[in-house]
Amino acid sequence: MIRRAVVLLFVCTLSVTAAAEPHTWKAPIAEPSSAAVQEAKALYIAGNRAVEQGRWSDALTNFEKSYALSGVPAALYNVATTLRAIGRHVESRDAFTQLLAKHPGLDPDIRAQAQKLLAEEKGKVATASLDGVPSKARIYVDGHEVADDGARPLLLEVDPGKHSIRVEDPKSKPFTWDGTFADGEKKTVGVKLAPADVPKPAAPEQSGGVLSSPWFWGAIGVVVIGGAAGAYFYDRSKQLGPESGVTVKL
Amino acid sequence: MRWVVALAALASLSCARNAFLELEIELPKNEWKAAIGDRFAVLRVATIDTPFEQEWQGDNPIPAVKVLETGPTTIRVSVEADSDSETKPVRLKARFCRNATCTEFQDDVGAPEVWLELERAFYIGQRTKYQWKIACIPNVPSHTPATPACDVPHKAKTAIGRCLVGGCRSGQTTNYCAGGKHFCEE
Repeated sequence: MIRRAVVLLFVCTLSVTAAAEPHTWKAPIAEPSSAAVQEAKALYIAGNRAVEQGRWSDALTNFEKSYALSGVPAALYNVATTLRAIGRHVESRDAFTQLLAKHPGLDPDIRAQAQKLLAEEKGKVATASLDGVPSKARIYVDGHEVADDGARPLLLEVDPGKHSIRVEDPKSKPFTWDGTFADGEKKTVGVKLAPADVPKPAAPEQSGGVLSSPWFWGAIGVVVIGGAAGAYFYDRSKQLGPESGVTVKL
Repeated sequence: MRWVVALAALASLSCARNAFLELEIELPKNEWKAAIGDRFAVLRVATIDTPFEQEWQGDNPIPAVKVLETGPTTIRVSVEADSDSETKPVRLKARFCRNATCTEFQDDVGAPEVWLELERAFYIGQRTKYQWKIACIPNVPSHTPATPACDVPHKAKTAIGRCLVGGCRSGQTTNYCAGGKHFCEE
């Protein structure tokens, strides 16, 4: 895909990070073996083929594996451009940043192109500034928990598009915010946590009569449990059972 | 009044609310054992709600089966559905991996896969059956040697009509429909 035109495809996929934690891609520490390089080359080719067929997820996996095996900058460049193509701009920015920082010997043309794309990706990353987040709260963006770096207001970098932010605190009702971010938009979200409901105390028991007798309620319990067990086994007997030892329930 | 409700609920339980598809899956032999080592068939079943392209790991786990070099292996799986899934097409996926958990380095990139979709397989209160025969492990460059050639396509869906899913009729037949309706629908 390197040196090729990339068809832009916007997919609103979650990519969120606390501002201080960039994504990183591992590369081999030592010189890779020739077998690893061959493997990486095959993955790189497969990744390019996947891009041509619009299989972006497969392409990304291939390029990431290829880079992890070989440390070849072309693979990381393709990781960055693939992430860009599927709208994961936070990670794309981080991949371009890593590429430029870790590969000083990059081909000048590629370096220039990477710098240009990095600037574009930086401009697309949106930021949510969360005000009023308690210190022990758990924060979720689109259902995924986000690490809290302790900074307040808490800054979360997100891809443009719709997002749902949820803050949970043991002493409060959960706070949820839903909204849309434009390219590069910065929004402040005021987190307002309402106190959790306190369970109401049970009403005092009326004394006297058969209803206050523990024997009466014990008997009722026996009847109910017996009935439920009977219903359960009756129901089971009417259901079909598997014929083989391996069962899957849809 | 509560007893009446309870009795009514009990009476409503008297009908079956589930259905079973009894699958017989014939796995091919591992023709490349000497060249590339063991292969494990990782099988998954899902409804049409799950895209084939999606990772199915963790959904409805069926123990992986080692593909033998000596000849085909047959396994049997009972798939249960309730009324929510009754009319949904059923998807089957067989993935041929380097280990039983499909976690070897190359397995998550492009291990050979065979896809099958049954138009309809369930009828509440009925037991149906289908035999899926996988003739060979698909050829996938960088995963399997080019020979012997296999004409089973990699990651290409084979669609099976409802009339080919057996059930509700004894004897030998390959068509389980009459007048466009499956015997189990009557």
